[in-house]
Amino acid sequence: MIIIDRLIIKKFRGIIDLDIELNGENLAICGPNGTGKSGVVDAIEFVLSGDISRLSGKGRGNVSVKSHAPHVDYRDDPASAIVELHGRIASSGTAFKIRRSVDQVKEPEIEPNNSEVNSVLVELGLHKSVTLSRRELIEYILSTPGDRAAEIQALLQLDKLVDLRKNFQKISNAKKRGAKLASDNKVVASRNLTNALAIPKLNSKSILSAVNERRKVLGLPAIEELTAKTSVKDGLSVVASGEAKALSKSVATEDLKSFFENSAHLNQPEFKDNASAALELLEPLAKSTDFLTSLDRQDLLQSARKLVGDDGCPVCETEWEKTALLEKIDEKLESLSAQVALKDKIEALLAPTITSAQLLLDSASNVRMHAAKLKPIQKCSILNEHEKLIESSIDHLRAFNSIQPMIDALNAISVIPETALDEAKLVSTEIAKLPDTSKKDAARDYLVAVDERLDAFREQSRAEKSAQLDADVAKRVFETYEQAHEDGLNEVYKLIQDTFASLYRQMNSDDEGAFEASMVASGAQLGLDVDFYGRGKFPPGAYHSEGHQDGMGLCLYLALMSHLHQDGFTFCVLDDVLMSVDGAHRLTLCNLLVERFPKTQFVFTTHDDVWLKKMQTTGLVKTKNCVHFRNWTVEDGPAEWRTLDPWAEIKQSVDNNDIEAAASSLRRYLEFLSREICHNLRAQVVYRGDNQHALGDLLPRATSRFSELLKEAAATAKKWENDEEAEGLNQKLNDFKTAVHKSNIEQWSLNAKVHYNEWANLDKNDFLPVVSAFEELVAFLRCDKCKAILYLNPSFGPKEALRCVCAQNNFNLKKKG
Amino acid sequence: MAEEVEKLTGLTKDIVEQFLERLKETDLEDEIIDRLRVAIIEDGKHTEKALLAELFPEK
Repeated sequence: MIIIDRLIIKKFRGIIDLDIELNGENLAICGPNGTGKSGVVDAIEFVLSGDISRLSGKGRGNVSVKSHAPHVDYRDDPASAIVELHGRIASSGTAFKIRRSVDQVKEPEIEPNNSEVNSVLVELGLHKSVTLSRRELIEYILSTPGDRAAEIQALLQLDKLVDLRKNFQKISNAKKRGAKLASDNKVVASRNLTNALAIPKLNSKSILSAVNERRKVLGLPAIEELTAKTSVKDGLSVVASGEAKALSKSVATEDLKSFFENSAHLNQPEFKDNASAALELLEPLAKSTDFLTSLDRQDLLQSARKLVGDDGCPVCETEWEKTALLEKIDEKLESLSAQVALKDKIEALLAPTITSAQLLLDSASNVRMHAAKLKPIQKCSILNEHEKLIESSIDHLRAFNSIQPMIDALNAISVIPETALDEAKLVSTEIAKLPDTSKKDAARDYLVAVDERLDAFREQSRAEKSAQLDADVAKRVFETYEQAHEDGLNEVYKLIQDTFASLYRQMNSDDEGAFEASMVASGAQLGLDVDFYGRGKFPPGAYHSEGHQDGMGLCLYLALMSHLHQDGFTFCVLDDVLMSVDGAHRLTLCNLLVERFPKTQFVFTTHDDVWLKKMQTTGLVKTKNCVHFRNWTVEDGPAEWRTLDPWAEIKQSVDNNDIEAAASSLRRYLEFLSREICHNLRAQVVYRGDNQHALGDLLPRATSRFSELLKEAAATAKKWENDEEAEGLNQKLNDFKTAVHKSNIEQWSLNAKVHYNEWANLDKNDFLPVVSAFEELVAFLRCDKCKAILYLNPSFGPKEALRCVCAQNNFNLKKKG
Repeated sequence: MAEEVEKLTGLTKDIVEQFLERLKETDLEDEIIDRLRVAIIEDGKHTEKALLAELFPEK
């Protein structure tokens, strides 16, 4: 992975012009909500991948990178919306620069444009997991096992494994359905053969016995063995082929018998129960088209999913980022899973019903065939019509594309018209009236019919065997894959769960030092249970607070990234993530990041100054690497305290007679400075549980603390016999006290809120002296040369010096002896 | 549209290798296993159509 040294953002999202030097170190961007912090995160994602998840992710509608990534005032000039990143490849140290503009999203300028740099950038572009937001944090923890598996497998770049599993499962299911259909066809062929043979049960011995009995009548040699190629009429064509009669009384009699049995089966509970259960499920669905629309949508989504490419939506050609579109489709498919399950249930009930209908259809067809051979021909028009009805009913039930016709089909199949039965009875009567043929004729007719049906049976048997073999292979392959997939993932999850638990234990060592977790994959699901104070393992959302759950989300993400990238986990953006961790554990989290991820460059965003201080205190972020956004305007973007001259801005507002704006800027700048000064000088501030200190809580404490330290520094200089410095410090102290007096701060301790709140009511001539007084006061607290606010060194323990960054101000505080 | 092709790497490749090894322990023909290996690992094909063609080439 990479390390970032510098980031330049121009006319992009809410930012007009921003240049941030990171020099490979951690960076924290702090500012109130709406000051442009997320614009920096978007810029990092955009320059590395060409995408912005915030614009192209789920539920973003018509918002797109192409149209909405440029600053709103430059939306018609996407070429001017640019992000430039200077960085290094962590493993080799190779420096590179990448510059991407919104009009050329897919063609960034890369220097050097070589395979090493390109392969790293391709990897980052494909997998944008280096950025974690609060929204994503909770998806790892509180989502359903199916969603969690998808999120985590996507982060671990295991999406191809998921695709393979789905595809092997689809193949297995399709082959299983094919085997069932082939089996149904074989049952019909078997029944037809049994009827023709007029034997109760099919087996070689009984077949040969029945066949040889007729062959003996015809003087044909007995068949000793029934093989796959045996023709039971072998020798018959030579003997009497020309004399073969069209109708075999015995076969026709058996076929009629079979037809009546199949008709009677419709009244059996076995048939009725399945048909009724299917009807019960179908009838409520007929009232609206929602159910079938859902199934159509599922078909469409599955087809669309196969066609998704880099060109956006394959259906409407709307611009989409491929991964986001696939996620969107999967989300929609998941929402249709209940309807798909209902369809499967109905189909399972329909299967035996369709088999019975198929048998009836086939036997009715045989009846008509025999009727047509009678002399005179016996017409079976009603039976014929009913056959057509059964056939179309079976088609409707198999197609499953219209509910009412399916209900009608079930009702049609369940009842055979009496008139159709009467026709069959008439055929039966006519056949019974046929004179008994000579034994030879009967034997010949028998062998011809049996031979024909034996061939049909053999063909269906081969098809059924082949389909079953395919189904077995597909099932074995899917089951083997499923097991290898599950075992492989569980091995990985075991490592991740241990790292996750170890990180969480460290972060919560005060109260959950024995924390354990278990991650178990099962099919397309991933279960996650966590220990709750030794009371057992439960889902994370069961008993832990939201703050603890967020902490888990972060630890799990860090564990996953560590596993995925190993030593290559060198860059990570935590976008407003730290805020969601419970307050008591933020300091330990900072320490954890310092200790466990020393090679990872973090970019943090937060709107909480206290958080920022904790990051600085623990050494997670150096003071020089903290960017403070103080406000944001649509014309200028975020305004940063450390780069702007607030006094010039305040005076400009005064010149414009906009005292309200000038007063607001002065107050916010003093709030920012007061926090910095109190932190740097270790000033004692009245504790507030909500950390919402007002300016009146901070500035008087800051100035009195500075006075104390100047006094102490002067006394120390005196003791070290450095009279010149002591005299200079005493003079500085007196001048400072005069400046404090002029600023009127001392009165704030009486009523902290009154004075600065009244600034906005002053007129121009009254307010200018206030501004000058504070400018003079603040100048005492900053170094003339490096502009840094003076600070106590070290930040913990006995103080040694009051100094600035460049050491132009460096006042000894160490006591002599 | 061209068939989706992406070569497998890392953990994904390891798990697919394990799957193919386990297939050898079943009575599936070696020829089918070899075809699957080439298609999934070497050619990077993993669509339903591609897998179906390797499992049942005559159909």
